[in-house]
Amino acid sequence: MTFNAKTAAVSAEKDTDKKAAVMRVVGKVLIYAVLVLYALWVIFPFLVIVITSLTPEVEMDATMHFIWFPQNISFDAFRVVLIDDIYAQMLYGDNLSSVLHGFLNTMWQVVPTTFVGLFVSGLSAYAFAKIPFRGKGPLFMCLIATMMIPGAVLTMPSYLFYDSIHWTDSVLPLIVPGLFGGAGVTFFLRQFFMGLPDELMEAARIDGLNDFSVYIRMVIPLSAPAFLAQGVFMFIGGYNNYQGPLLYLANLPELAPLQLALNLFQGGYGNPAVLCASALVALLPLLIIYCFLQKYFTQGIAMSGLKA
Amino acid sequence: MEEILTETVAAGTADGGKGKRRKFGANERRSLYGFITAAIPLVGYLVFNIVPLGVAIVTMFVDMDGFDFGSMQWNNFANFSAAFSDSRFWHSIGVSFIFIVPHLIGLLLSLLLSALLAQKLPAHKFFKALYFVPYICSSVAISVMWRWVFDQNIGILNDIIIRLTGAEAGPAWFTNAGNFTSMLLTVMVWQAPGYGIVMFSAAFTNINPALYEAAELDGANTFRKFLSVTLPAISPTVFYLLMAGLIAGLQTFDVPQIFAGDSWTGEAGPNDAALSTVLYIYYKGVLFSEMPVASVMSMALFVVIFVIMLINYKLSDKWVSYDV
Repeated sequence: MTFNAKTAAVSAEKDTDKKAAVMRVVGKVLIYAVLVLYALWVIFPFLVIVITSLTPEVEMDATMHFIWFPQNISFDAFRVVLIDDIYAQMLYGDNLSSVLHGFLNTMWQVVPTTFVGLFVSGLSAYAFAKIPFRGKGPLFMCLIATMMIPGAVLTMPSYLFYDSIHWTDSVLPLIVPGLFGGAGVTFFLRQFFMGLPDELMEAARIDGLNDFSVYIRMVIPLSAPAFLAQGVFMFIGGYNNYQGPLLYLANLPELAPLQLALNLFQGGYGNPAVLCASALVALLPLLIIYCFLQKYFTQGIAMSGLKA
Repeated sequence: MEEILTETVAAGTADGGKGKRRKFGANERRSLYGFITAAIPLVGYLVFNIVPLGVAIVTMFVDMDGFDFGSMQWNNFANFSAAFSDSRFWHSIGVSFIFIVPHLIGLLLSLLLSALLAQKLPAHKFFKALYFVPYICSSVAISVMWRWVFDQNIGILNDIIIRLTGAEAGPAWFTNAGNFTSMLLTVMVWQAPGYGIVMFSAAFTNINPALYEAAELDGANTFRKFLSVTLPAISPTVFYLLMAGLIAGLQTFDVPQIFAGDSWTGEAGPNDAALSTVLYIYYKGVLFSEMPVASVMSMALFVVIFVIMLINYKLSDKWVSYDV
């Protein structure tokens, strides 16, 4: 091989290297372009309501089109949502705003149910994972089968049932069923518990701890991340629940949790800034929790998806 | 196996037979404890869902005054004919099928986005975290946001459309049936992909890298690798998300109810464009107090969902591979 041919081959190789490098950069730019575009699409409606919620009413009344950049910034809309809610004063006879009423109702209706539901689901999951008992197979099949029944099919039958035992127009249908734990959560926790070493629990039981104490003292502390992942998930479900409160609490605004209160509140005000501010206030608590516990939000999903 | 372990432990103790018998009683007790605690979620489900479901099935075949069980009377399938001769019911089934579409679009979007995120370019974690946000937002808050975006006169969307096209006014989103449906679909598409992105991202990280190396040795390019390695490996996730999307679409309630629900007239948007089956069942049962007809419709919806699930499951043999 001559010297010239060699350099030609080398430069050709360099050329393809260069080409590949350019392609890689182009590929990266394209990927970023798509990712940024989609990010803008996700942020867009949030941005719109943030702008509008800060727009003074005077400016909005003065024009007949959307205000992109308000000349002044006003927090009046947030004051209406949080403090000066005239509608709420008529409705509840106290000085707490509808949205705050709703938020407090959501807290006492959802948080205890989430905790008890988690605890009971874990109790059941521990039995499925670690205790040998007769009928485990069929019981487990039933548990799986319940997950196959679409929820919408059960809504009306359950409503009929609650009505016949005079539970409609009360919070009981929203709280009591959850205290028994859920099939999905049980299934997920069982999966997690099966990964815990048997020897540890056997040793504890030989030392005289019964299963309940083993569950409380060993399993719960060892499984904190799993509980947190499922708990966060249950909490979102409860916090965002709209259909349940609509069915059972539509006639009782003083018990309405946040989502229902928000919808009722919407009916009382026409000012777009106030509506946008109310949506932001309602979203904020979950968004803040999400920032801190982001890992657990997605873990709960990614792991529970394994059941498929 | 655990039983054997405890029994050997028991047999190993000094008091022999006596200890063994006591241990056996303890095992029985333990078995009972296990059964009872394991069954609690099922008991709840039985009491609050299955028993009511049974009662509802009975009420489909009888006439009743409101919720008074004493007044039950066999009615010769009157509820069935009432439900199935109701054109609004069939319309609502059609609407529910339309509401599957955003979930299918969401599935494709989440596949595309998570494939891009899987390239692990800098800041991919930030994008992933951001894309998940719509999923945790409540339908009420989302509806407030989007209703304002689509506002006929002073919304941002029509402002943009007017500026771009020079038209006098933007499309009538709230009074034209076709536009109304497009608006609802947009809202649902916005919310749909978050869940899929999390699931697909988990699936992507679980793919065995050796498969890619083998494909590279065989001279496969990026596209070929995606087709022959990635797609089969994530096909179970696609199947699961497809199933979940079909079921969720057919059960759509919140967004149509908040956008169009009218508790006085029982209508749902222009030409009932937002009348999903679950919304109509809610109207029938709660607003019109025709609970037995609502039960028949619930059952019919169940059958529809079940058939769709079955078809999806049967077809999955052809394209889902569980051995990668």
